[in-house]
Amino acid sequence: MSEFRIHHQVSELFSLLGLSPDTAEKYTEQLRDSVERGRGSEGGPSGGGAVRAVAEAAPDPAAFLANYHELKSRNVQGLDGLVEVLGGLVGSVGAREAVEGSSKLRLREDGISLSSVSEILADIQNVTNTKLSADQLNKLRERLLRESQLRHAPASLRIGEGGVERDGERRIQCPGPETPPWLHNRPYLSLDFLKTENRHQVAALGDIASTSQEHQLIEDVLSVMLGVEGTYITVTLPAKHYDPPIFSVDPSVEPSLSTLVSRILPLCGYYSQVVKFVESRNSYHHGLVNQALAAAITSLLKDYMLLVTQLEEQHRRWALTLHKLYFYVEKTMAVMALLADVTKVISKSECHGGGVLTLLHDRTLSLTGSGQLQDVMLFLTQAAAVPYMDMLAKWLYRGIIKDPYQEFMVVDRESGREEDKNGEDAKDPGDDYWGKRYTPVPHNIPSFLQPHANVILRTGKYLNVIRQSDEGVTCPQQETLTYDLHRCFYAEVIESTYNFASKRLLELLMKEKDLMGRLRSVKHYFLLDQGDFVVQLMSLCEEELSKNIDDVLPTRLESLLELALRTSAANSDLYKDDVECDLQPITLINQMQRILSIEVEEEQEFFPSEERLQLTGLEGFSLGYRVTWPVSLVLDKKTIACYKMIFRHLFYCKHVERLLCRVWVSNKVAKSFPLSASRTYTAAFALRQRMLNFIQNIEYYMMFEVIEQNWQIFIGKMQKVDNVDEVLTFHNDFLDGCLKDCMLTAPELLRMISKLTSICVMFANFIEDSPDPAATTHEVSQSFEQTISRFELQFSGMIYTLMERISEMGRDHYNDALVNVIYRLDFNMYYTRKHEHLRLVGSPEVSSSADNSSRPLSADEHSHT
Amino acid sequence: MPCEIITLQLGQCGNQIGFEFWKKLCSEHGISPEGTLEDYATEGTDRKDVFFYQADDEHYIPRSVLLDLEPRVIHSIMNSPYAKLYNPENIYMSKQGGGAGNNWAVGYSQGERIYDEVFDIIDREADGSDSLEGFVLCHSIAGGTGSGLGSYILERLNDRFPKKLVQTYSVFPNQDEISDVVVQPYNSLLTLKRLTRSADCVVVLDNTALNRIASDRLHLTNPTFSQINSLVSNIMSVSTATLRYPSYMNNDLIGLIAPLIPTPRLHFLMTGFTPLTTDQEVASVRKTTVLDVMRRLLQPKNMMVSTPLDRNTQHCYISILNIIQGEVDPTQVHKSLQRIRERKMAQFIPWGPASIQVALSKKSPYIQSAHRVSGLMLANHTNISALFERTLKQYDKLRKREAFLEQFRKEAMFSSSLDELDSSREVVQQLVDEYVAATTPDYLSWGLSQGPEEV
Repeated sequence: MSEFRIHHQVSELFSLLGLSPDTAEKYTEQLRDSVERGRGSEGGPSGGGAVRAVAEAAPDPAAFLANYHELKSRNVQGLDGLVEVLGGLVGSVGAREAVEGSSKLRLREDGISLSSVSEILADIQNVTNTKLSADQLNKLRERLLRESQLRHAPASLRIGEGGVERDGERRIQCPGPETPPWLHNRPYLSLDFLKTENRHQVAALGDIASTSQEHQLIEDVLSVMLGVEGTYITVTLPAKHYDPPIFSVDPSVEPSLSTLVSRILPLCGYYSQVVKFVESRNSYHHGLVNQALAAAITSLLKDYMLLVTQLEEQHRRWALTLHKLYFYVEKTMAVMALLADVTKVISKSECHGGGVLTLLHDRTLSLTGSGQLQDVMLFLTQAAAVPYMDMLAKWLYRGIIKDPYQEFMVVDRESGREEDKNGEDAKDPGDDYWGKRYTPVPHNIPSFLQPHANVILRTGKYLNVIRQSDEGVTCPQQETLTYDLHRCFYAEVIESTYNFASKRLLELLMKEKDLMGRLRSVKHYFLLDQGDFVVQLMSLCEEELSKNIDDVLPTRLESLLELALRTSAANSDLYKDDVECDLQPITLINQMQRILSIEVEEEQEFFPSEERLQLTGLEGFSLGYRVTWPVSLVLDKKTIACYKMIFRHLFYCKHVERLLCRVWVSNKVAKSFPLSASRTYTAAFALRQRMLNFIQNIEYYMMFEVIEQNWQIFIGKMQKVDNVDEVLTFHNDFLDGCLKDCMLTAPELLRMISKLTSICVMFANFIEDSPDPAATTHEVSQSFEQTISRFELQFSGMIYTLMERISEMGRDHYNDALVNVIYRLDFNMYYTRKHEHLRLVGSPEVSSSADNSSRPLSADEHSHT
Repeated sequence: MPCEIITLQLGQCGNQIGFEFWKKLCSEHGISPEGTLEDYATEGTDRKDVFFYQADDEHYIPRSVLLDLEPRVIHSIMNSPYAKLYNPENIYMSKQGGGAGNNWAVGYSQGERIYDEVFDIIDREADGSDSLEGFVLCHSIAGGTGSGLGSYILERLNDRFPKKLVQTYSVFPNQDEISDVVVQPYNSLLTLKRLTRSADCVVVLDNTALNRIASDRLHLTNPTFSQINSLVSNIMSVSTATLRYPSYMNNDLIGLIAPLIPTPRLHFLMTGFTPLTTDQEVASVRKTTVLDVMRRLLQPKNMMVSTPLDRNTQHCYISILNIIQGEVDPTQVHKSLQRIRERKMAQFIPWGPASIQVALSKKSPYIQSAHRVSGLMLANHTNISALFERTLKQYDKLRKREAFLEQFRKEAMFSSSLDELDSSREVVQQLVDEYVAATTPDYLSWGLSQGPEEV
């Protein structure tokens, strides 16, 4: 989880709770720490501390602890995280009050009141309703609130055996075909104990001789070992399905025999548990891993039964005593105990798929040194891992998920839509594809694959992209993956398939789909790299675009764009046909503001309509770009939107430059006027020059110092790139850098620049509309001069503010690039000096000497020598 | 095609420069002397259509009009390998073939006579382009055809295409050697008036400086015309590089010259080029970094205009545009600019913002150059007024003696009076004054305070 997301969610939570945001930082820190800790060791000592703290705060500590251990034994994921959060809540008064307060507030609306945190603690069982994952710690708080409300909804109150609810993510409750009803109807199909209603009353065994007692008991024990109730050993079925049944031996039996029997009896309990597990896992919805595990256990049970048969055979020959029997089964007992324990945990936690494997793997590891037992566990784990590894292989080699029971570590969010991907009208898969389509399922990642989880996810993703681009792809070396405790053979395979997939996809993108060519083409159009195209486009579309945005005909624009593309140097571009027009009914500033500030929905509603009225086509004009899969992986809608923003900014600047140049052309006549006539325009000329200087320098800065430079860096990085995720990262870095340094992400600066450009536009329009200079009277020229000086004042004022603000921002954020703008704008120190001059003039004591024009000159001279 | 530019070559000098210019353009775009595309010219990123158009058979034809009043130079062009390049309909030679006799007045009056035929050609060319941006005129101001006919055509172009740009590459005579054209000061003065009034942008190519550069910088003992002309053609081609190899900025002529020329009259640009090499001399490859190039461009010895270095006057740059070609990292440009700013290597006008604009341009992929980076400077410097002052001085010297005026009096324009000369002198003097005024902070109010006095 990225730091940003933690930060965002914490601050959201805090605003939700109505807490002051300054403590949010602290919590973010804590959360990040705990997340990292959580990754390191599940349920480490920190969990213990929190448990104690919560227990102390709870009204009934013993009950809480009992609950806690109950949950713990169910292997509930994220339990420690939740407890830690609760511990934090208990510890910090402020947060606790806030949580209580806001939950009370909400509950009061429902007419219910929540008494204290301790009740939330009591509700801890509710947590089992939801799958919690260790790295979603921060979400827990929100969930906590939700849970405390949900508690009151009767539907979710069903807690208990078998009724464990899955959350929305588990769409199908019981996937797979139904098991036939006779499987449940016929109780004698089971190898387990049966519930016997009418037991025959038998005489007490204690009345007969002890050897006969022993013989009879052995008879009974052997039956019980196979799940058949004996005559003198009776069975009470357990309350919970995962607990062993309770055996009771006829009390009249000789104590020494009874003790011996009771030593052997746990084995029977184990058998019962294991058999019950095996039988229950046969139904489909438990998934392939559970079934494989059950099958493996069955094969072990066969040995066990063989043992029982051999024992019985001996017994028939009167060669068996209870002592001997105990001696024979002692070794088996340990194995069966292990099996029973493992199966109990699995049934209790209802885990399946990757979770089972995690459990098995951890158990195997913990048995290091126990020789035979570890071998047994290894055998089980290996057997259980076979279907999972098959899935993994399919995913790694071909990018296919075949996972009917939601066992795999990766889930395909939209598998249903896959078929129409190739269809023309199918929705572009590019958007959010990368991030959202395939997501890892944390609780299904076997712990032995945890270190490779990211690589596995990416391998399959890459293969999928390749597959969806109509390229059949299979990994060249396909070996069967097997689980192994020590020699991590699968790690090598994962590594090599990953290398293959990433190389193949990169090749596909870069060579076959010519990603760089695409990007270069996008750069031509959106970043105005190909200037003549823009010049051409502008001169063609000018008329159309100067209309109001609602009157612009998109079709005409489209054909003009086409023409511009064909007649400029862009004609040689292979991808020119993918460029299209796009009109956005909102100014760039508003768009940027909307993106930068999270607005309330109602606010968005009425925003555009009023500004739409005076929006010209030029301000709303933008290019669009059609991208096809898989290039849309890199150039998704979001990225294109970024390009569009930059384009609009540059395009408008270009437009202003053109307007000013047009003013230049219409002014050029002045050179043939008599001197005195032309001189009246000098102020206007100078102002135009200043504007042109400004706009060209801003353009130069954005184009060469920001875009081109970032591009070079990007290209440099791309030469060394070796997987597609890096491509995405680099490309995003490139765009982010451009957006930031083009001042698009600073609304304040952007607003100033657009003010300046709008002054330029007004000035240009004024000059264009002003009457022919030859025919002007004195009064007209007077008012002309006044208007010009007004423009001058506006422009100067704005540009000073801009420069000041930029230098401030540069100081604050150490942003070198921005300060460069000032360097360029004020290369000959004109503005600095003028500003200084104005300041001096403004102060009364110097104003008298301000007329002395030689003063600044001499200062100037001085500075140069 | 957008932003087309029509080149007009006038007179002996203009045609020679033009010839070299087209030679250069052809080699840069991979066009053979016959106008066909060379086999290696496959990179389609350049824009040939600014200066060329394609005939029906895909041949590239220059948008060029060749005018002369005597056939010698044009004949030599027609005997060169490039003969088939030009559109024969665009070549106009005066029927008399007598030339202008190095007399401005003759050239000018000849212009009136051949007006229809010349403007037929120009109109046809203009109509043949989608959105003509302007004209480029190559001529010298000293002779007869280039100056006289050139002046006439300038005036007419301005009338006929008031919204089109007119840029000239004007060769100023060599001041160091005694010219065989005795009336040169008259010719120059009369042409200067038209250049001031009717041209939008004049790139001054000073023969004095060109010769100096050829001998000093290129170590040529006796620089030939073609060597000098190749220098000139180099400048012309580089100054149009951003139009032909489009990049982010400066992709039209107006975008190039508008920021250089703040007030319409001060439109005389100096050029500088570095590193300078000729075909013979390739050996001395120096280290070329952006800073080196930009620094060297600011040195007077690299300027193609020879102006006396007067430390006392406040002469300064009104604007600078550096066209840098080659593999350039924009950060280097920025660093160089910062260095130049800190060291105050260039002085700028005090009455407005001015900076060194940099246009980064691609190089032709077909021409190998030993230099990594090369640069051309187009500068608007007030010191150019010294050149005009010199012309005025020489004119005054001749005028005082009323020397060589008979030839002028023969033509209608001067038959009654020599007012034209006087008015030209006034215009040039005003130009010089304005340039001098532009060095002061109160330039913006300069004309105003003077204006009412004149009225």
